[in-house]
Amino acid sequence: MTLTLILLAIGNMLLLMAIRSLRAQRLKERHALLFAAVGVPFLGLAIWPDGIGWIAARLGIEYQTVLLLAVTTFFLVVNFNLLSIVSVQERRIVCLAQMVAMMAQKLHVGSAGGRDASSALPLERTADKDEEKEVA
Amino acid sequence: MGDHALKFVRGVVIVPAFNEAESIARVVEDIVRVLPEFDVVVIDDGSTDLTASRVPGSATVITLPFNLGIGAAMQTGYRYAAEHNYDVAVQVDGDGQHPASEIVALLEAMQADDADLVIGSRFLRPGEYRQSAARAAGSRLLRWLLRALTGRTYTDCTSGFRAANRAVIRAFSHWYPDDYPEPEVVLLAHRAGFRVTETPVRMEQRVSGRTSIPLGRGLYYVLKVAVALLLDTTRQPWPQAKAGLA
Repeated sequence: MTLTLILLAIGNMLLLMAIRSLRAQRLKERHALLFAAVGVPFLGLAIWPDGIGWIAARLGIEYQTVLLLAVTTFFLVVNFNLLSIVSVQERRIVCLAQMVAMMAQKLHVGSAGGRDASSALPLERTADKDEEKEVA
Repeated sequence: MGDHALKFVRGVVIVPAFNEAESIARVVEDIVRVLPEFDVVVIDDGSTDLTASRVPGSATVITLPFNLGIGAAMQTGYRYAAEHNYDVAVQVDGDGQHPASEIVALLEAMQADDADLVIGSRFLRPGEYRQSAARAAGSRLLRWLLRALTGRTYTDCTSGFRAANRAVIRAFSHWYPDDYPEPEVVLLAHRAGFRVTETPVRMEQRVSGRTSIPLGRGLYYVLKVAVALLLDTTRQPWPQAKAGLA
């Protein structure tokens, strides 16, 4: 009974987090879907606690802990993937912020007829190119 | 200004500043007085005080839309330097720690050593700069780690008082470490084939603002930098640097 309650709480929490974040536009659909996909199995296990044993038997895994290890590894890979996305996005945000700041400075100098206006050149987007490579 | 300016056709002093309203005007004025031939660009890293408006008209101000951290602020300065084809860029903190008069020492060392990147070291003049025991221990650890990884001794790898030539400007505009980048830059520049040297400089104690590395986070800082340095041995952010294409 306790296990069922814990699994229900975890499953509901993950689903609620996904739905709330999606509604508040803090999470993109594909990432919210991922959380929902993770939450649903918890609810399934709450309803059918022996399910993991049944899956282990069907997959020919002798010890249920090995299956749990596989599930944990899956979550870690998902986490790594999400952190990679965050890192790339962060670099892009920094790059954009730098470009905005430099363009604003050029506009300011240009409108003031300052000494730097003539030397303003198009920005090189080398960092962006790198990030595209990283994503690829 | 001495003969050091002859080799450098155009130079810029990059001053990163975050909430340095009290000191920024004096810092810029000192630089302009010592190096009137050089341009000065202040990178206002999303300050919430009057930093940007306190910058004298002799300097260019680039105001980042929000606080990006010292690494991104410095890279903005290097991007500006690369975009405007400066021959040399000097980093000077906006808090008044780095006396403008010492910039000349950096430039002279760059010429004398034919260096790509010169670091101003406060520890090459023993006894002139006071540190807490904890900070001194952290500095020693980083110094030891860098010596193990590069085979060279850098006495002040956390110094933000530096001068870079055109090749390094290009490299830094392309990529620059985040967070606490100074030690990482030393290692990565060394690994990229740049000639990185140190020269003794005098530094002032801070006159205003907060240090970017509070004492309470010192241990975390050292551990993080140590891990980052070890990870840096596996990457090469400036692959064309050795070929002079950076």
